[in-house]
Amino acid sequence: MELVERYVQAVKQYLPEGQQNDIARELAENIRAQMDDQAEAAGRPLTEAEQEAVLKQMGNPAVVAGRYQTDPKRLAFGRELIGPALFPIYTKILVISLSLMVLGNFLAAGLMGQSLSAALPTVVLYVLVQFAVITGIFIAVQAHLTRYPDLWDPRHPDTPVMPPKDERLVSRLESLFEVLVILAVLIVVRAFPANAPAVVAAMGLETVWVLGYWSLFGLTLASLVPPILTFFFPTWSLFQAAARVVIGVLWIAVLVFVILAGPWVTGAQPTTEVALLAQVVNRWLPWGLGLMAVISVFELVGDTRKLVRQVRLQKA
Amino acid sequence: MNGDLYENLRLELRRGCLIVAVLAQLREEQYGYTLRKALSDDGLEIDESTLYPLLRRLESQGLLASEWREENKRSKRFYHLSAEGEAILKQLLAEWQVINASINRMLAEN
Repeated sequence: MELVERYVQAVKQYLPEGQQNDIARELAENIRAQMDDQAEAAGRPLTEAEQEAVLKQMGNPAVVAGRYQTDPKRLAFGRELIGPALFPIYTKILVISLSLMVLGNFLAAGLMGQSLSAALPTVVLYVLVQFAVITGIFIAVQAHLTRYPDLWDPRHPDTPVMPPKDERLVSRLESLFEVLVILAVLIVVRAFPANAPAVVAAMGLETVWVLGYWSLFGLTLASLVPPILTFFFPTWSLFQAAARVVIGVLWIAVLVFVILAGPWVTGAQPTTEVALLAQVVNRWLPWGLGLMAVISVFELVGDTRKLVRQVRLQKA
Repeated sequence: MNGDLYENLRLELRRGCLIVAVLAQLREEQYGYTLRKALSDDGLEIDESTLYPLLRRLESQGLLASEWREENKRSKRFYHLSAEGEAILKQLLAEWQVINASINRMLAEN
């Protein structure tokens, strides 16, 4: 795909529906006319670098598309949080994901014999968490766009380009985002036992399950400390890297302990349904936890590398 | 801070003037890129990402009309002033003359 076409495609995705093709066609023609004009003046076809310069001058695709919004809607509290280019995509994703989640949860509740009114508090909680996470992501993207409107690559207009980073500083936005994600996980994890369907609640939990649950919950809670501190003290990057490694090691140790100490649940009220569910849980839980442990090992390797890099940076 | 304030006021001043300039240029039919060049040749620089959406907005307000036509084996969207646009331009230019004359008078008095 040629550069102009790629650029116009990148603009097109943010354009108002119903006008996308027409605006994209006109934009492409205007850009090509400008390139032809420059080529004629130079007496030769434009090089790729020269074509990129023309596109760079046109501007960031999302910003350009935002100016075509005829009825620009935005999310703003004093200052603009989600601008007119991203707002239509934000609302679309919000509506689709929340509808799917609500539908899926009510369907699951129905299948597990739970009444809709009983499932409602959990669904409302999940809606709030999902709303907060999606909105947070879009606010972060908009903040990046507003702060670095020229930080984009005409060869890959769809791929975000990150600003050069001082690795000795932790971004406040990154810390805030991490805090929000961990809080969301904690809320969901804490809400589950209280709102579990009757058949799940009827299962008896072995001591190891309770011990493992609270250890992992405690470690997740502890992982809130580094981002909270780095939000206030962004220069504490070495502390952040070290804390992540320590928490990662403990997390894997607890996971391995829980995996080896099964079985995890019993049919406390031994109806056929509960006993069957307990059997399924005991069979598949180690695989789920094992997968989680493998992912955690990969994360730990990455965190250890970051720690080594931080130690070197601090020494330099 | 002072620079930001100046920039905001400058943009505000330019916004209205650009509309008058675009309408005036489009008394003769042009497409986006040639219009931008014509404005630039007359000393009025304007970003592509500002001009092209502005043309669509003026068209949706009924001040411009447009049509796709082929030129040099390329299909282009040509804009020209509509009858309503012509009437509005006339009024805007009259207003412009009044403002211009007033400011010049004030500057001369001071």
